[in-house]
Amino acid sequence: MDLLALLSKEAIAVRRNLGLVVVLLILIPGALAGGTVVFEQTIPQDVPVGLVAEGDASSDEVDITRAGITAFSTPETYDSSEEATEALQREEVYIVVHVPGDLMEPGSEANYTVTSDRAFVPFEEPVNESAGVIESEFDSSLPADVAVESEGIGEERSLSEFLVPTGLFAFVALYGLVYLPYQLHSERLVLDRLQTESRLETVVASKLLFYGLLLVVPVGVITAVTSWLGYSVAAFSPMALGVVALTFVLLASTGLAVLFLLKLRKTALFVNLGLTLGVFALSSLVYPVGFFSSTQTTISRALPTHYSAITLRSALLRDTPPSVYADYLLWLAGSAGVSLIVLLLTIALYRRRR
Amino acid sequence: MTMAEPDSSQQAMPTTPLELTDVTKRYGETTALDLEGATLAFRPGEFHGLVGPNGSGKTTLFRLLTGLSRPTSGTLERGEATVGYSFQEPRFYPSLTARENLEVFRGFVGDPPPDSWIETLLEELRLEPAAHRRADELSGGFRKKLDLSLALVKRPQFLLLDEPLADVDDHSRRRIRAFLESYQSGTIEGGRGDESALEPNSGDRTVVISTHNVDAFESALDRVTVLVDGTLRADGEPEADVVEQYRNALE
Repeated sequence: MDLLALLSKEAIAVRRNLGLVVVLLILIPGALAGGTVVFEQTIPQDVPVGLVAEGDASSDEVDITRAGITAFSTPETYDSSEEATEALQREEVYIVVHVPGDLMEPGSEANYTVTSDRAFVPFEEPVNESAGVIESEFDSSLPADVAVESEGIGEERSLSEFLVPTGLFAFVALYGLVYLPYQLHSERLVLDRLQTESRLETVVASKLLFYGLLLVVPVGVITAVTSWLGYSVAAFSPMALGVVALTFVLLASTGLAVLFLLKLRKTALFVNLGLTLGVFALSSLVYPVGFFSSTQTTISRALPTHYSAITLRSALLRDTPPSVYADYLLWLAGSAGVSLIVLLLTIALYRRRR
Repeated sequence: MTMAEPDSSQQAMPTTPLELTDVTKRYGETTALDLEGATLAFRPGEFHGLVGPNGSGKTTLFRLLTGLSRPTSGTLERGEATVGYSFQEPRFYPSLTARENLEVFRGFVGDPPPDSWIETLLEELRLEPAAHRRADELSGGFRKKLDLSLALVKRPQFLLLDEPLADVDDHSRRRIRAFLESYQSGTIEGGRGDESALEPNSGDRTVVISTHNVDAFESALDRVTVLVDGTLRADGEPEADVVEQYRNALE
């Protein structure tokens, strides 16, 4: 009988917390299952690849190459090597294929060069695979004797170093989307008193400011630990700090907006947890966009967090001037601004509903 | 409790009443307060009892007066008066100590009372044993007293107290009652012998007590308002037997 009574209590509690149950048992599992559509393949077929004509290569030869690599990539043509290299550093493409001339001359030697960015460590193996595919495919189908050479730009990096900016991004996402809303939620009872003394907007601004400034601590810890480990990462560079700050404002404002929209209920914390999982899964943090599907490319490139990950990686691992990422930083700043406005609107809505 | 003679040189500026006219408050289809056709004023210098059974609209009325809710219709005059609010369910920073809470909320005041005012509150409301304990670890009575102290920390002109004696022991109840009466009449010293902290005898302080135990403050009341089911049943000076007056209003 005890068990029956307790089970009946649980059933009542579920009915009372229907919002939380819907998020926890329906929306999150549904999103996890639905999200799998983005991960279609394990052999990359849609990774953006740059094409650039070298020396006397004609546009026909570029087109032939394009047709040859379409099976395992999404080719993008660039007018110059410099442009293509910049696209590589901006992660618009993940390898650049330099197309040689004389592809159609029987017996002539045609040497392709496949360039990758050494900062994007997990793609090293696929790059070697791609180079092998290009060589065997083209050598057998083109009149020229085709050879492929691989080269990398930037400093040699280890997987451990590559994971530092990824880890930092993941930390900021958890901190902004989960911890800060949780912190405000734990103080929800005092909000009524605070509203008799101050404005909710000021309360929220103080939290964003305080916990945003506090991020200097984990960045400092990461700098100290990675320096002790002998890594060469620039976590304390102005660009890194700027990206961390913008990412924090974007994600913390989003998390707090969800909290106010759901009237400071616990359900909001689970929604934010779901959002965090979505950010991790869809921002192409470790693998290139298009690695798993073309849908993944579309989604990742629409998410500001994707640009956070790229710019953070660049700030920590690449010796590239911030101006190369000006549009990414602008998009990130714009998104952070919009999320702040949305947060203000949800606070106003929260107040109106009281 | 230390009492001081009124100091006429420190008279504060007269305060305008808190006044509600034709105010209603609805949550969806539910009417929490309906003062249509009525004006309810909380006048300076009065000890005002707002009585009514559970669910009669007392807390809704306080939320309107403090700006935490907006009226669905009607007008509400608040003027520039400072308002302190002690909630039915205590509201404080759970992870801060009682003293830290008081210091944080004192920081919100542009022209705060002297430091000794916090000592006075801790002493008069018997909060000293809890001063250095985390607020979320306090017993119900201490929580209530901390909430009351927070309402008083800026020495407001209007003090709105929602069931201020709930969960509080008998000895503390007597002290709180006496303290509130002397607060309203402006005869409280700054505390701990700090003469510079003598509070101004404004003479126009208003204490509004919301309760369903009308007898608890019976002798102190200058005015009684009875709310039942969100409507105004009585509003005026207390009669000789306030409990009887309340019972009659309920019927």
